[in-house]
Amino acid sequence: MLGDRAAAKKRVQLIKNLPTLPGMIEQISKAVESQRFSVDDIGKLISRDQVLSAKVLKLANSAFFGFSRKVGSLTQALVLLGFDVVKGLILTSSVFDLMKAKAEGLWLHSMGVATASSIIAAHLEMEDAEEISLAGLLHDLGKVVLRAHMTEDMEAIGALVEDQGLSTREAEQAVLGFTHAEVGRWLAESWKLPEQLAEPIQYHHDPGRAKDAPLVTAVVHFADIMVRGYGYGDGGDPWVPPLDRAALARMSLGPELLKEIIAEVCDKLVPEVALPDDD
Amino acid sequence: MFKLTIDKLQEGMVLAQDVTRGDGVVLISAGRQVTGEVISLLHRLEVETVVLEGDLFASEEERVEHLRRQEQALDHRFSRVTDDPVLMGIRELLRHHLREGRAAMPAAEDPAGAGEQAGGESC
Ligand SMILES: [Fe+2]
Ligand SMILES: [Fe+2]
Repeated sequence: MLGDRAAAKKRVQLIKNLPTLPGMIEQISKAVESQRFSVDDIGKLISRDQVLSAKVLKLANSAFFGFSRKVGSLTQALVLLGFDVVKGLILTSSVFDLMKAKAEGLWLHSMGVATASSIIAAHLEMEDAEEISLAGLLHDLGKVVLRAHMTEDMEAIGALVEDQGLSTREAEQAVLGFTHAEVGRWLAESWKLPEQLAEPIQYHHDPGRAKDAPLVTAVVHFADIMVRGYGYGDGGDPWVPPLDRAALARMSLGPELLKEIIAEVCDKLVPEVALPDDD
Repeated sequence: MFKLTIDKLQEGMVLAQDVTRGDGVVLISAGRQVTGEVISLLHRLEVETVVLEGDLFASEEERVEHLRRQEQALDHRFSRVTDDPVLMGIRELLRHHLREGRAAMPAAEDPAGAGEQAGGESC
């Protein structure tokens, strides 16, 4: 709909608007890179912000990560999960706070994809299960940013989905000239997320293009499809998108394994009933 | 099966899934009947929601009608990928779970939009 120039201009505007990391994270990132600090020092640094550390611990102990033990402190979280995951958790809690209030359906969708990703990872006996479920949690990060910063365009996108039956991605492309997957990539870059997180965010709709993390990207691609198929949360439009054959082959999921995974997803993602308050 | 916040629990309901801590440690086992004691224990453990047996439909008719609408929504979600045998297989597995009452069966039909809250069939 828009010319290339207009799209490019929007792109630049959007990059300027990208949420920045809390200053403290920047400080910690530098400390990690310089390798002059111990895990203990870094844990203490994060613990100074009590609200943030409480949020990070709560997320780390959420059911969808499925850790085998309780994460009691930030230092422990750093040891068990590594700095990249803790950084991802900090990002999640700052960005998604906004989303929980404004876009409950997208939050549910994201938690659903995190849960499904961790179930698949467990069945495939993949290492770094936490990182994989974090990739699931963050996969639609670009959508959160679009909602927060491009409200008018989001209305136009929503209208195209409603009235003309476009998928969210097609509508984003038509209105903006780019999609939430690309926005997610810019964000991942500006936040210096590892490729294990950046690629699933960028390529979860096009997993064949992943180079550094093809398996994690395949897992998130498939988890997104399952959660949409199941109808948990709101992925932007109601339709299950095409399943990438190569991604499916990469996971080598046989029919039996698939059956078990779906049963487990259904068990873990039981929808909540909102009963009216008694008088 | 359905999930309920602790403040809406009623005595006599039955837990359909273990109540676990985030790390998987079982706090209360599935099959336990909800009593005043269980409710106060859940409060003390700061558990927010539990999964319960059965459903909240007033009649068999209501249940059947609800299931019909859920299956319709399921078919709609998969309507653009009917040429993919793998996805059709997944659709049928999901349908099976729906019929067993093991998936996406929020029953409260209050006008406040329970369906949306529940995240099932939101489309
Ligand atoms: Fe997406
Ligand atoms: Fe998604």
